[in-house]
Amino acid sequence: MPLVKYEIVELDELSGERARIYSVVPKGESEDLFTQFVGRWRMTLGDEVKDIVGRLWEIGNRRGARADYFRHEEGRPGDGMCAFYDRPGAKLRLYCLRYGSVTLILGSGGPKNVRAWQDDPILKREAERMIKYGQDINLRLRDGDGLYWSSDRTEILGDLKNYEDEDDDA
Amino acid sequence: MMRKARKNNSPLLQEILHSISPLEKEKIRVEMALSAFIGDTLKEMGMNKSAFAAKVGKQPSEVTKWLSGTHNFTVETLVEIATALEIKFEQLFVRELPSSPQPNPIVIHIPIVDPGKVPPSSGKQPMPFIWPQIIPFPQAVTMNFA
Repeated sequence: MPLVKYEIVELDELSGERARIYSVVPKGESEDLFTQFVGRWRMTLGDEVKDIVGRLWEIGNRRGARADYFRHEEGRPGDGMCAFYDRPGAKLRLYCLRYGSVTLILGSGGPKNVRAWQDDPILKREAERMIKYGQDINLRLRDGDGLYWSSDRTEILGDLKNYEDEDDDA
Repeated sequence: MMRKARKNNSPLLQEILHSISPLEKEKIRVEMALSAFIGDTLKEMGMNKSAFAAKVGKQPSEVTKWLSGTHNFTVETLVEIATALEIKFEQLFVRELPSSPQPNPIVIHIPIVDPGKVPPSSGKQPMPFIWPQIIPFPQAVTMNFA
């Protein structure tokens, strides 16, 4: 039994010819983590949300997910979690998983007012949630356990939803 | 059978994308293009961030910011970067990544000699000054995120 149940979805508005951009819909929730993140912070940190969405569009359609655009090793060593680089003075931090320059899985995040995410309850919850999804996704991709790379290694294929629909009522 | 991910069309993301003004889009595009250009050039030169930082007299953390796609470059900084990369300042704006639309370059011909001041007896035509290729960014102004 998987530790976490979720569906990986592609964010059609952001994905493009340079990078596929995905997010995760946790079981029992209607929206993916990134759309939840945007909805939660757009009223209080609207300019930062717009900037993040605009830069992600640029990544998907023109630049690709270059390593320099991300802070790496944000989580624990080897879990693959990184943070989208924020502007000087910006507060909003977004966690994600990056696979080369062609694939991103966006999570959620929140305002960063402390030096380490472990010291902030919102960031801690969102970072730990992304780490859990990342561990499961990475393991399944590594072992070919229902998740596979396309032949050109740009697209995630397979059982993108790791639970059965009838589980929804459980 | 290999299934593809379900495409999630989010009205909220569409709304946010449409709320970004052409000027904001253009700023994002230029900042990210500049950082990509600097990063690519460093790679081609085989120079790492620390070596480049030493060359421009900055901390490596400053170079990390330049490459992050979020830096609001000043002309002064760009001149320092171009000098360290051993290119002309204008060249920072010439190269685009292959995937980006490549509009036709504009070549501006500016006479450097006033034809009225050329001695008639010289018989020479003034040579036009050809400005380095300037790639305009008009496509971003009309760019449609939808």
